Amino acid sequence: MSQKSEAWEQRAKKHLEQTKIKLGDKYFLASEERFAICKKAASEIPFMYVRMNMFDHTQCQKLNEILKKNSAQLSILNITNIADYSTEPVLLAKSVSDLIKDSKPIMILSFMSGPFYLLTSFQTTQAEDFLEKIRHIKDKQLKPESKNNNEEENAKAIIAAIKQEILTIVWPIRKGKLFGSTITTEDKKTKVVPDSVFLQWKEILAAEKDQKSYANALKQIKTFGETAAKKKKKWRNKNITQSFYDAFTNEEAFNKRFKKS
Amino acid sequence: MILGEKEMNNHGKPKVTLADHKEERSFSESSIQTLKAQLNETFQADDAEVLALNEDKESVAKHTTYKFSQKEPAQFYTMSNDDFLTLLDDLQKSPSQKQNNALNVALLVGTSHIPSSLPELVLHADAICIADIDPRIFNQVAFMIKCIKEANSRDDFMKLYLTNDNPYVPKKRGLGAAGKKTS
Repeated sequence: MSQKSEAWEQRAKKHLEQTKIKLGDKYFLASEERFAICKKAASEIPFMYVRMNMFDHTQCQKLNEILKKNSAQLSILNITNIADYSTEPVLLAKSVSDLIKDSKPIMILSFMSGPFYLLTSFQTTQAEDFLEKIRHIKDKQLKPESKNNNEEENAKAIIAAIKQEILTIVWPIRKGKLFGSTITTEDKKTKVVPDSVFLQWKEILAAEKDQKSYANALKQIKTFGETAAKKKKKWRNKNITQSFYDAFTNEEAFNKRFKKS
Repeated sequence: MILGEKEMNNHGKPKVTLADHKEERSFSESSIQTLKAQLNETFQADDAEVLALNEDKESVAKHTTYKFSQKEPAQFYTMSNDDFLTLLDDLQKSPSQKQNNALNVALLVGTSHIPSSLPELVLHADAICIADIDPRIFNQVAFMIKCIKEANSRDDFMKLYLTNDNPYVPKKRGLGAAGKKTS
């Protein structure tokens, strides 16, 4: 039997670790207890696989017909962030409309927004709300700041925009309320974890600490801005610091760090 | 909340828990198999592993900017592109959208944190249907589910997962038998 490479094994482990950071104790390998619960559920529920292009409304119609013919209905529909890949969101809304015509599912849509394309999720049981969100998905995306001749000024403006976004949009959602449900202090440990996008903010949020880190952040943001404008490529930092984690799991630490003004 | 514990939701109705969901099923195994067969016939899921992706550009290009990764095997999905699990957990406090006389299907695009979401998913659905434009994701999800089912502990899982059967293992260098759908 051939040997798998160590590099591959390291990548596989890293992949699992990254998921763990995001999901906390809900991660299926977080504890033996959670693993046993996930295993039990996996053994009880059947899986089906459908290779389809959800942007093609004829395929969505076909799927709906098959479900209906078999007395089946959708109770959950998670389309993740496929709307970000839509060339014509109105047509995607039409496809989804055909798909849910005879069901009343819980619907979940995720999308990138803001200058750094931060991921946000939207959930509803109201079909029209969901379709309207898809139709206007492109409107919600704030494009990267237009290039300024003064690179430093431009970078500063982006830093300000990111901080503003964290303070006014992301943090309140993550901190206290999530779609009408109150998150307890205990929940914060698992729900208010930094995801891959949060990792991107580390340097930016730490930027005002000293001249050196500020200069580094400016440099990285400049590079990111140029790349993002061309490719929408995400900018990722490799490491996460405890203080950054604390700031997102502890209100006092957060206020101390980010609510100076 | 302890799974199986009765608890009232915000709307004054009993919350559905993992322990409850079995009794609520009103469909037979054969109805599942019939649905599965019809989906396979129409959407060619059984052919996923042998699908020549590059020959299918026309279908993929319709109304989307999605591009298949040309890397083989597909790269690791480091994150699911959503907060699906967080939302599902939150939805335990909301009325389920399950209907008593229907086969309730959760249609999930891509990875959707499926292995970790299963305990919450069974509260909301009788079957899971994974839909994606890129069929390689089926191999990856199916392999993970197979490992979870077969393992008796986390260590067991890692032993099963880190083998040459893992669809992530590069085929070209002869490091594993990739590309086989496992369940």
